[in-house]
Amino acid sequence: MKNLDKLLSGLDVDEPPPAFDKRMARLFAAYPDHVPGVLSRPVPAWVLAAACVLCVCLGALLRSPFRQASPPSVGPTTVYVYPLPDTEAGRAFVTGPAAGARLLLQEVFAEGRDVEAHTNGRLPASPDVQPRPQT
Amino acid sequence: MGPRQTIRLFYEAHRAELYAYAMLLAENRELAEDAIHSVFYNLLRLRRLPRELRPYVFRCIRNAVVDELRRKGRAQQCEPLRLKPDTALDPALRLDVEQALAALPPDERECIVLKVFCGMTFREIATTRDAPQGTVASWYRRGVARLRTILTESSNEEPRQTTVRT
Repeated sequence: MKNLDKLLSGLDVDEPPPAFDKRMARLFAAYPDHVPGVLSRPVPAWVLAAACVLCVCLGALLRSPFRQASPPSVGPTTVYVYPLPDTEAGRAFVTGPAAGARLLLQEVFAEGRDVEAHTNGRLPASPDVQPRPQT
Repeated sequence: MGPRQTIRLFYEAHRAELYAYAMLLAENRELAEDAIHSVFYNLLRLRRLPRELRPYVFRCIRNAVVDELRRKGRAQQCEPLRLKPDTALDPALRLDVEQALAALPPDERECIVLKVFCGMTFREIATTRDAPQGTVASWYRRGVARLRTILTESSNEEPRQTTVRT
């Protein structure tokens, strides 16, 4: 029995009996591949149109209770732009602590306008900036 | 292609192999058919199919047959695996192969049937049997050697033409 592989490859297993094939066919028929779900079911056009009309009416009814008054308009904000003076206060404004800004503003408003009024009190209370040693 | 269609096409493509494997394990027609039916009934309810369907299905059939055998016990009259009669080979030789296969140890017989008749790879057989691939390969080699010995002895006892008909 030298050519056993050839012998085995020439053989084949028997087919299942037809009765079993019918039984399996019934099983596969009971479980079709595509079961139409709720979302994939076809919807008549008149149902879609009615749903659209209903949604529009409901939207119109619900819009007024949720309507809000327009927010109060914010007045225009004035931004003052000044050239940074090449002074100790100017340098302290850029590189030093925040208190340097007060010195700078005092320089800028040399005519004696109230700094507090322009900054709304957002600057430190006392100008404690020490002049930097010159290098 | 949906999973159910995949399962149906898989069954249609492998129905003979699946039936033969179930018959090999169960040695009873009714038990084998029930096992295949229950496996495909469960498969059709799966939402996602396993990546490798063939070893999975064969393993499910094996588990189903083993469960049924544990529950009902082996039938009194064993029905051995039948090979296709309308082949080009000598019918007497086909019967010899059937008897030789039946005489093999179960692991070797199962391995030969899965490899030769079901066309599975050793890796797939290892997955089906939940055994290492080397073990499966050695089962196959030992089975083929034993099958060769049995067929040689039977052909020596009864000289018979073993050529392939054309």
